[in-house]
Amino acid sequence: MSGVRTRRALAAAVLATLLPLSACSGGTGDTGDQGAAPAGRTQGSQTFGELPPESGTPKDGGAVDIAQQPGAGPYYVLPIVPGAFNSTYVTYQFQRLMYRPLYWFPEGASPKVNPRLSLAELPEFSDGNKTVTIKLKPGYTWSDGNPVEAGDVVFFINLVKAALRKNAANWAGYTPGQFPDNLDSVTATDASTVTMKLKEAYNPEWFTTDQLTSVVPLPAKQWARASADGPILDHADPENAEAIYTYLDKASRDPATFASNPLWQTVNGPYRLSAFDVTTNFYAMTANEKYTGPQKPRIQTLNFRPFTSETAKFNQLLSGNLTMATVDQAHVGQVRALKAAGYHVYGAPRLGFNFIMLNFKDTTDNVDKILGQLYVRQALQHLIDQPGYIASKGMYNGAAAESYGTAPATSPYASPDVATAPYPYDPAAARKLLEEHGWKVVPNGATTCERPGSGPTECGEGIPQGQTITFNLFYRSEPQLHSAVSTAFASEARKLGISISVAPKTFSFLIQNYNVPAAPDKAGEWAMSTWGGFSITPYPTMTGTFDSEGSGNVGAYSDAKTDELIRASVHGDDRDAVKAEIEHLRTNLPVLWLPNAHTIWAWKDTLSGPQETFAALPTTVLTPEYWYLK
Amino acid sequence: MTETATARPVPELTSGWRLAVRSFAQNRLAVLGVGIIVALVLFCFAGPHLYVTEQITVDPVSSLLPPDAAHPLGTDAQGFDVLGRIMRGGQASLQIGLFAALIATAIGTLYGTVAGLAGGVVDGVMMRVVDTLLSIPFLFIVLIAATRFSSTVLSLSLILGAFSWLAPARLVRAEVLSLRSRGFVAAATVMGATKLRIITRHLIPNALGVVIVNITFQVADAIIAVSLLGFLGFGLNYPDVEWGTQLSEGVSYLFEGAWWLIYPVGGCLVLVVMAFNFVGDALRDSIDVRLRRR
Repeated sequence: MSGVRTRRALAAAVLATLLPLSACSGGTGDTGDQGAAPAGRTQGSQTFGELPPESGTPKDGGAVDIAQQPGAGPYYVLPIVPGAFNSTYVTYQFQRLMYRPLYWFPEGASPKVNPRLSLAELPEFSDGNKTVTIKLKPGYTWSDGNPVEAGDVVFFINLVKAALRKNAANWAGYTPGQFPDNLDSVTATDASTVTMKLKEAYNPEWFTTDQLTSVVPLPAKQWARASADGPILDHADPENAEAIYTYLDKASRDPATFASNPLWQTVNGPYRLSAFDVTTNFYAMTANEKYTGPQKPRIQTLNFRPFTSETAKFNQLLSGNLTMATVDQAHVGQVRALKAAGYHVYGAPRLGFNFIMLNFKDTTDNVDKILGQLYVRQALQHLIDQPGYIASKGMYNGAAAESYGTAPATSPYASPDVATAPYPYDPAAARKLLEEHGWKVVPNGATTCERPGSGPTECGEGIPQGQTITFNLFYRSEPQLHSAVSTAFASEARKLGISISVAPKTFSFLIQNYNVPAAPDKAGEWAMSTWGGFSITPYPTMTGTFDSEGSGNVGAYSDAKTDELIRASVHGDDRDAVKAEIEHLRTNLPVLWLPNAHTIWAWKDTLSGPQETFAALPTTVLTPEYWYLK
Repeated sequence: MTETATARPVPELTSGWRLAVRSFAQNRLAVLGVGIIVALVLFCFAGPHLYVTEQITVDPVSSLLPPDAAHPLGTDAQGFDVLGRIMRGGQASLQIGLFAALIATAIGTLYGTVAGLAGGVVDGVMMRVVDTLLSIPFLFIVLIAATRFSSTVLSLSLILGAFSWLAPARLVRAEVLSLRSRGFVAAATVMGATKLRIITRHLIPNALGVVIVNITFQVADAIIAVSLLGFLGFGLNYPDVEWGTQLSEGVSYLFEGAWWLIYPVGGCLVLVVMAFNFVGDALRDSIDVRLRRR
């Protein structure tokens, strides 16, 4: 055999044999104390493990290696994030370390505004909730020494307006009619006071926790220019604002210059970018020694290491090469091994919800017409066995909680029925729903519409006779959990003659392409997708997410009653208005509900800090300035 | 003294092909390779009729069960019986390997023959195209193509075949460059044979040895390539599966001690690739008179 042939044959052998060898070092398959627990957990467990108390003597300096999520590198710097780039990995784990929002949340694990980390005092509402006065806290400065001023807040708002004038998809937080459309005027009354006049009265709770938490003051004295060496422009002039936005947006889409462009070195957060490898997506941050927040960073360097798979990440974690990383459900059984290797492990459902996204704009094979029928969505939800998925070792492995709504159980607004399935796993009920609406169900074949029409016992408007039910479902390629869930769902659907073809895509691909507001030209390419869910703000209204015009309405769901309820949540005085919205969405199924997976983190026991900063990890929010190496 | 007729041994009539077959049959590794291939083909295609398992309906409750009497090789993350899954995955892997090899060899043979016969500028341009394509990493091209098309046995075969013809094209061109200066080609040319006739009746049949040897290596390469695609998440999707996807899914449960998701399918992959390489090596040794045992 020639050398080349030998090497190729060996390549196959290496692929098949070396990997299991490393598995042996990982353990014997004994799930250990933490791993044993999942199998016996009820399907509503709210935490995984316990938080260790703060310990050790704080030391300054050192480096921490943090794992990035596979396929989810940050590709946008400017904190006015377009929908195509928007994720918590970009906003919470990348931008927030450099650019602090006006109002910070959560507070530990609690879904509420954290006054201590916010740049301003809580806003005052007056004039029948039509005037908002924001007082910036004294003492906050940019890394160039300039103070964080009211003008920086106004600068952000002017840039958002400029971005939206160019394209509504340029800011993921945008919903037509809402911020900043709802501002009659915004003025920097003095250096530390911003006054907003609103066009209508708004629910103060919503306006603060939803709208103002998305405001990120930007350094106007450095960034208000249209080119690198251009003069500082008056950003109140819309033309200037548009030129500034164009310049910043372009620079923000160029990862090769992220670390070298002086623009991004002016920060008010505890860290600034020091390296970004465009080939691997590795990036590093160094402490901002001029940070003026409540806690100066102690750790000098944060290295965010990229991975192509959860297994590769876990392997590095177990071998001690990472200071901290998330642990996916496939590796929950190895928690004992992690603890033996000197890690703390803690997890909880994140502040959000998981789902299979439905595309109501996919006209291919009448997918939009079919998904537009509530009874079809109910039938599909009947095919999802949340308790079974949670118990399955091949899926959630016990590390998840049943969830059927937009507010997780930890939210004070959550429906008491959030963990009660409105359409529990019941394939017979699903079949009955289809048959009652004029479909001839052919198990393992092709179910077809026999009674077209829009009557109560007919298939529904726009669905012709002989129509089959055929969807594609794209799932996030890592972790393995998404593949297992998608396959199980497709398998159940097949039993009812519903064809669902499944295929993997990376996280970045999904949010950039299979997202109707961000990529309307691709709306005909996908019917369903699942990538891990949405995070929510403390006041869990779905404005922007499930209202007809929301820029974050990925599947273009549209329902008049939902719009009405969201409007009540947003404009009403009643803080509990959002509860009615949550309950309606729970049963109206804008998406198909999946269990709320625990986000589990492991960190070395040499890393410590206040307990509440680690309690916030499952919300994907990092506050490393509070951490130290012992 | 009477003159007696002495029986003189009559030389056995042997053709080149018969010598090649004899040489091949005497190669123990080749016979072993053929045996493994036949056994795996029977295992994958006849096995499911003897060992019937559910390979469509997911059973989350039975996921990741270790081997026992009911499931000799345990179950995977979806609760599928792993032994049955390997049979199903093997069907796809072998089919893709064979189809891709045939496609690559067909394209490469035709391309190489035309280039070799044409010579001059045409040959130069055609081979620079090959050089250029060879300089682009194979996996890079195939991954891009795989993301653009849905993954089916046919599409993966076409993708792999369409980007694997470069090596056979070079081999066949070299063979044709040697053949075209032979007398029989010159004779055919003098007799007015068209280029097409020279290619189809004289050059390709005489380069067939190289082509056949190459097919076996192409099959092995294609099986590795499709396994690699599957391993990277671009293989077949539910309800279909191939060995690379099985390995990839198994690796996710590496630390759970689920060895049955890795070793059996990995062993099959190694065996089939090794077997095709044994056969290919033996065929080359048999067909090439310089390497043939005498």
